[in-house]
Amino acid sequence: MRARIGDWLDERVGHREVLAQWQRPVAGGASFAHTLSFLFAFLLVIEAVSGALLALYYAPSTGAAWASVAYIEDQVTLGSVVRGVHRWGMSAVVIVAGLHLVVTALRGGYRRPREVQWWLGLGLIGVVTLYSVSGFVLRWDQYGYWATKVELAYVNDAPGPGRQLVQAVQGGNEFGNLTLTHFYALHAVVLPIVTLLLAWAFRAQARRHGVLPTGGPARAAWPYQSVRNWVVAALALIALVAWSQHAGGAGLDGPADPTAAYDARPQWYFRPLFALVNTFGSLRTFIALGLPLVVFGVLAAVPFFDGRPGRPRRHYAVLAMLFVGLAGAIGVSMQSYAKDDDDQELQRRTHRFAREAARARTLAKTHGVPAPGGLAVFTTPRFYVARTLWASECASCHEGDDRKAPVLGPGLASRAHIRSLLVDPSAPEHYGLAKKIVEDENAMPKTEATGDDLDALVELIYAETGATDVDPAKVEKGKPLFDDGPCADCHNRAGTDASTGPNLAGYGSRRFYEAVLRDSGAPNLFGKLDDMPAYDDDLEPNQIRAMADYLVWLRTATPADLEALKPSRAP
Amino acid sequence: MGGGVGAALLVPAARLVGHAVGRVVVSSPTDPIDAIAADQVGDLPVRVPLVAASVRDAYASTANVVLGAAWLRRGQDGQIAALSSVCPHKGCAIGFAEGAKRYECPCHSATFDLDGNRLSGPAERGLDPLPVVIERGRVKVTWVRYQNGGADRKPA
Repeated sequence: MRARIGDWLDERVGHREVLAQWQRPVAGGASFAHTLSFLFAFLLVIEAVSGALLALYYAPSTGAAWASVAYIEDQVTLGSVVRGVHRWGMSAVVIVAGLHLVVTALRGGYRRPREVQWWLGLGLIGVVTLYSVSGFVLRWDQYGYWATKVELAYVNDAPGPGRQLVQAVQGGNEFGNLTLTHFYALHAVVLPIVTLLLAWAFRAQARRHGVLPTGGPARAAWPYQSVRNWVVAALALIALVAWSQHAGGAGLDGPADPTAAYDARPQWYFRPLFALVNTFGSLRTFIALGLPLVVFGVLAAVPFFDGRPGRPRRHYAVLAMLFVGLAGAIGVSMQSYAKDDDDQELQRRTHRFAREAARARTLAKTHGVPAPGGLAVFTTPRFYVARTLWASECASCHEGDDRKAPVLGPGLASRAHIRSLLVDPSAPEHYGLAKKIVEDENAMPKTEATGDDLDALVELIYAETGATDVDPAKVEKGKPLFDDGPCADCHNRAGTDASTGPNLAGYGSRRFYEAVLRDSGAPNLFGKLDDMPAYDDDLEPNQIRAMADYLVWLRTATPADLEALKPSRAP
Repeated sequence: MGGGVGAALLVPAARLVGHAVGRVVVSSPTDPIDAIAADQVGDLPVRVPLVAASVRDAYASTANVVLGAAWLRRGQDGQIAALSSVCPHKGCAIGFAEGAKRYECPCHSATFDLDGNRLSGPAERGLDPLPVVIERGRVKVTWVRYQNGGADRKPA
C-alpha cells in the first residue's frame, strides 16, 4: 500500500530523485566546517518565522509603532521572547556570515571557479546589514529613531543622489508615517525577496562546484552532514535564546522624542565605523560611507589577486589583510565602548533615559497609548492636567518654603486638616504666611471649642466635603455650635451671601474649589481678604474642573500617592 | 520584447517609489508657537519643546505634535534669543552642559558657545537661530528645520 502511494506520488512529483541526493556520496566529505552555510540558512528561517509572528502584532505608523512594540514586549504572550530571538538572531546571522567568510578565505574558497559564489556570499552579507538598518527604526523608540536619523544623515550628505535616495526611503522631507511604512516594507517584503534570490543563486553555485574538500572520504549528506548540521543548529538555537534572555530581550527604550539629547549609538556591527568616524575628524563622511564600499570592493577583488592554488604567499597576504582588518575593527570598537563606559555624564543620561523608558512602558501598560503616539503616554497619568497647572500656576504660592498661602497637600479638608485649621488658623501651614489675611483685623482667631464640641464642629465642616463616612449625630450636634457661636460672625453655611470669611457651603467639594479657582475674591468667598489671582479668564472650564477634581482627590491621598503622580521626564 | 515589458513595469514602479522625493510630506502651520512665559527665561538657556497645534503627516492629521525644541536665553542686551536644538552636523538634539556652559551634541561631540557659535567638533556651522516674538509676556518661537551639514543655512 505504502509503495503504491509512493509510486503514484513519485510519478507526479518525482520526490525519490530529490531524496536520493542526500544518499549520494559528496566529494569532500562531511565536516563541521560545512555546517556554517546550513546554520546561516537556519537562522534566516528563524528570523522569517519570528518576524512573521511579530508582524501579527506590529503597526507601522508614528501613532502606533512604539505603542505596538511596547504591547508586544510587555503584554503579548511570549512576545518579548520572540522579539529577543528576532533581534539577536540577526546578530547571530552576522556572526555566522562572518565566520563563513573567514573559513572560506582560510581555505582559498574564493578561487576559480568559485568567484561568483564568493561575490554572492558578499552580497548576502551586505543584505543582512540592511536588515538591521531597516529594522531598527521600526521600534520608534529613542534608540532606533536617533540611530536611524544619524545613519540617514550620512547618506543624505553623500555626494550624488544621496539626498534623493534618503527622501525616497524616508518618504519625504521629515521622519513620519511614510518612514515607518517604507522601512517596514523594505524590512519585511523587499529584503526577504532579495535574500531569497541571492540564497537560491548561492545554493545553485554550491551544487555546481561542490563543497570545499576537507581531505576526508566522500560521504553521503544523510546522515553524515545532516546530523552535524542539526546538532549545530540545535546548539545555536539554545545559545541564541539563552543569550537573548541574558541580554534582557530586544529591549525597548522610551518613545521617540525629537527634543531629547539622546546619545545615538549604532548596532554593534557598525561600531567600528562609529569609532573611526569619531576619530578621524575631516575624513568623517568618507569613512562612514566610503570605507564599507572600499572593504567590499577589496574583498570582491580578492579572487583576481589570488585566483588559483599554489601561490601560498598571495593566500597569506589575503589572510593577513583579513585578520588585520578584523582585529582592527574589534580593537577600535572595544576602545569606543570603553570610552562610553568611562563617560560619567553619558552614563547618567543613559540611566535617566532608562528610567523614563520604564515609566513610559508602565504608563502604556496601565492606560494604553493615546492616538497621537508614544510620547503622549506621558500625559495619560491621573491628574496630569491638574499637576501641570499646579506646577505652573499654584506651586509657587502653595508649596515649599517661599509660599505665601496655605499648604494644599495630601489630607486637604480631611478631619485632621480641619481640626488643625480650627485649632491654629495662623499656623504657617494654614494662613500664617498669607500676610493679607493674618494681618487683617478680621483674621480668624483660634477656636475655643475643645473635646466633643470641637469634634462636632470638625464633623459639621467635614460633612460639607461630600465625604461618605460622616457621623450624622455629630453633625447635628455641631449645627447649633456653629450657628450660635463665634464661627457664624464671619462664616455662614448657606452659600451665596456676602460675608467676612468664606461661606462654607460645600467646603472641600468640587463645586467649592471651582468657585475659588474662578474668583476667590467673590463676596461670598474671601472677599476683601483675597490675595489670589482669579482664573476665570485664564483657564479653560475643563482645566478648572480638572484642578478641582484633583483638590478633592487630595483629601484622601497620602504623600506616597502624590509622589506617584510626579512625572520623571529626562531633559 | 522582454525589455519592453520590463520597462513598462519598471517606469511606473520607479515613479511611485520616487513620489516622496522633493515633496513636503510632513507639514505644520508656520506661525509662531507659544513656548514659555518671558519672565521665566534667564541668563542660562532653558529647553522648551515646540508643540505644533496640528501636523499633516502623509495620510494623517494629528493634534499637539512635538516638532522639536528651542533653547531660549536672555542675552546681555536683555533680548530673548532662540536656538534650534537640531545639531547642524547630523541632526541629533543637542544638550546643554551646565558646568562648561556650552551646548554639546551627544552623538559626535560637536560643541557650541552660549550664542550658538561653533567651538569644536564636526559641525560646519553654528547652531541655527529661530525667530522669536514676545506677545503679552509670552515667548513665541517659529520652528524652522534647516538642512544638515554645510556652512550655509538652507531651509530643509
